[in-house]
Amino acid sequence: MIKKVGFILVSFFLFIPQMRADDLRVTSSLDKRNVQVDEEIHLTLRVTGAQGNIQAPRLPAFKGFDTYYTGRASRITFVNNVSSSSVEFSYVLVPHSAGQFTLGPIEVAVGAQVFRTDPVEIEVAGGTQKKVTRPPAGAIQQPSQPPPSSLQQPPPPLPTPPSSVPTRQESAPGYKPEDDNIYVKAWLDKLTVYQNEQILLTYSLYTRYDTRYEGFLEEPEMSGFWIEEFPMEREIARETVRVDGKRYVKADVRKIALFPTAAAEYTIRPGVLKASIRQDPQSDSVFDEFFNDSFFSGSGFFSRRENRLLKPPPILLVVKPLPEEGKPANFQGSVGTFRMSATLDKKTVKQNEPVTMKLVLEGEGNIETLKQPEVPELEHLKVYEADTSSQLFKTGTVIGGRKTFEIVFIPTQSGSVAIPKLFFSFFDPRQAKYQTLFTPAFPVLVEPSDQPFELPQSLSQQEIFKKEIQVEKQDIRYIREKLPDEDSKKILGWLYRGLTGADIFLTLFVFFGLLQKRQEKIFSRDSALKRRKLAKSQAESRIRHLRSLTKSHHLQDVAPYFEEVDKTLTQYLSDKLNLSAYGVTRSSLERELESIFGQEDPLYQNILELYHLCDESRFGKGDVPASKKHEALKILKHTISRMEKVRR
Amino acid sequence: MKIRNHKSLVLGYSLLAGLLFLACPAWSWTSSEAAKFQEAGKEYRAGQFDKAISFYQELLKAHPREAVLFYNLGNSHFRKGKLGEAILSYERARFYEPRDKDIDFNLHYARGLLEYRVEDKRNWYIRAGEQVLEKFTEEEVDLLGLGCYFLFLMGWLFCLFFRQRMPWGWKRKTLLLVSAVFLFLSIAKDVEIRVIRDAIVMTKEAEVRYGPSESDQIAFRVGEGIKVYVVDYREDWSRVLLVNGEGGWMRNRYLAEVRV
Repeated sequence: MIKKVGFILVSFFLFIPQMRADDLRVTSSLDKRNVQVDEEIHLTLRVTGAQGNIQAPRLPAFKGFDTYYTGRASRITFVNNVSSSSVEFSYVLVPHSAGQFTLGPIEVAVGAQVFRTDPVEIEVAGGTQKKVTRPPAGAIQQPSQPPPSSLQQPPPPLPTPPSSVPTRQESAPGYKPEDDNIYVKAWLDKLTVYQNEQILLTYSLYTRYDTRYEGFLEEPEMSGFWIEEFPMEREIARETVRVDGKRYVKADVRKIALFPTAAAEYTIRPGVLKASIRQDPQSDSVFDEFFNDSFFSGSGFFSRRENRLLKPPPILLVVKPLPEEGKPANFQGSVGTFRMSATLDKKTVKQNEPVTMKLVLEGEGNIETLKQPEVPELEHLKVYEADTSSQLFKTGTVIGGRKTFEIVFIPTQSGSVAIPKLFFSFFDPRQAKYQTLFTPAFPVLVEPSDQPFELPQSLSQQEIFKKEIQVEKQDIRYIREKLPDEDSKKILGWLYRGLTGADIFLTLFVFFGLLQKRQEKIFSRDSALKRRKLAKSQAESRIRHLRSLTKSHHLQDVAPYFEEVDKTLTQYLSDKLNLSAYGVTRSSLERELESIFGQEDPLYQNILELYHLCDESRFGKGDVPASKKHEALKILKHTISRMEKVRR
Repeated sequence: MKIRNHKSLVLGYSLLAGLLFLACPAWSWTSSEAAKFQEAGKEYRAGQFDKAISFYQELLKAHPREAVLFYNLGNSHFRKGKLGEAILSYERARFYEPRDKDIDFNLHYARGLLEYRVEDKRNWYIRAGEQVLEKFTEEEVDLLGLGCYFLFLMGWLFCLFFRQRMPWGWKRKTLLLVSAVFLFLSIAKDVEIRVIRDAIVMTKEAEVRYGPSESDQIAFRVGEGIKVYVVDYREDWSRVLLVNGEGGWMRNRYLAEVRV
């Protein structure tokens, strides 16, 4: 039972997350499956139905492929009355050997759940190598649903003042690595920033060995930050540097853009990296040779190598609150540098017909958290939010992107109406001041129409646009004005009493039943005991029959009466004395009775007399008077009474 | 087992069960009572709360276990500004209709207006236990227990009559377990009602003393409408406990027990 109950409970608790998981889906897609060596394949991981921020999944090492992350795009749509959100993460895979490969399954963690994509087959032909089509610098975004043509290219970089050139802030200046021939420096481009300002965390690997970087063994701990994986170049840049008189090969193996969500002092634990080395440090004289075949080229793959775990020290970061001075009323927390543009799909509409504004915010900063500019209450226009989409890409050394909002306006009155200017404010950390952008005011000519107002189908499910009921004042609830239904109470009362009676009755019944069962069990083991115990009840049953015979005054009934008395007495005595009812003789009975009562006992004499009477009645001439019947019955009863008291 | 041996027993208990079944009191409302109820509602609507109170109190003499009457009486007291009386009536209404949303709402609302507030510092399992027990009436808990016990006995009878060994399977174990749970609930409910009796403070401010006499020191004061648990009696004094763990002796005249 415990197992079954346990199973039900476990199933119940498992069912809840299962129900939630049904809404979430993770799929992967490739732009092509038959490629040449060194030809790029674009892999897209799509997470549908997830809420909140999802970090870019880290792809596992695919044997025979170089992989790098190129960016993300997200979208919220309303199709057929159902809203759906999706995030796409884009990667480029470059095969460097021919053959048939199976990629995946790829594990993607969304919250506490881990999803696995289906494995995919790729055929890589070895023949003529196709020239790699490298993405232009900064343009690494490859959304599966291309945005409108006007927005397809990343925006030109925003003007950057000279002061914004990042200064390297390396972790723990006095840090001494275990082996100074190989170590990792995790560093931030700034150590004091404003809340929600972008910071770039870079992992620079310094090595004097023949080294292969193998990823992260332990991911960094960065609670309190909105995190965006920084898209990396296909070829990780390497350079030769000199540190403390020693020459190293230095490579930036990973970059993460961080956006602190609150003002505080943070300690970032950069995690643990794994690298494998060939043990002998390279001498300066052969450095160039080492440079050519070490690191990520895959050479020395089958040579004997040693794993190294590289743990950069924690980094301290101070996050300042945004200044209160000059904060615009419509400021919603955006930090960075942004541009805003807006277009309207039509300038003339019919009454109760929708007109859609497309508002684009682009620039550098946390694009995902940008909020739509607030639309003021408009008298003759109903306003609804529609689709939202965003795309992230790398612009130089920072993450940038574009977020598109669609706002639907439905004029409810004919005439000339104006969609007012919409204001968007952000804090520019480079200039340390707030900036406000605004859209132009759009005049719209509304032609009269008989068409009644109807919420567009694609918007009717958007609960967020509906007003919430608010309790204005509280009071007690009203009295009951109807008498309660009495039938249910009656039934309950009857049931209660019926069950009480039935339970008492059944309890006694079961109790007696169990007693009887126990008695039967004992009797089955000891038949003599059974005869002794039941002798009286059987005799009494026969006595009841004798009583009815006593009432008869017919002479012919006397003999059967005494015959019955004889049988009753003999049966009773043989049962009590455990003698065979069939083999018992008068003399054996007399001996037993004599041993119990003694010869002088009047009852003994009476029993003998009774037997004599019975014999006389049965075998004599039938002159036993009817009055003797009562006397015989009396002796019989007395005998039973005395015998019941005898303990043998 | 031979049932004919117990024919008289069967007959006797069947008769007893039948008598119990038929002996339930009449719940139905007479036409004059129904008219009085309507009249009370009319007075309430007209703002004549005193009259409504007297009507409801009169009806409660004939129907002392009717939650609707207590609820309406509570509303009438509330409108008169008698918070203690109102809370007492709502508590009584809830005693007979423990899952009624309106009663709960009004009781909660009335409690929110009290001058005194007592923080519940009892252990979580005591609070949880009380919340569970408060969701059922005494009859309901008993009925559930009786029903399970009935099924359990029927199983035994089946075994005795048909001389078959009852399998000690999970169904029987579950039934036994459920019966035991309901039996425990039934006992707990009984303890809650009869041993720890809920009462409401009915005066504006009552003194709670360290002993059952005026010469004992005042421990603290409680205000109207506060619920206390009566755990002992001495002549015209009651020993009370509060949910924050404080306790003491209080004059009986300042208290009204929830269970009539």
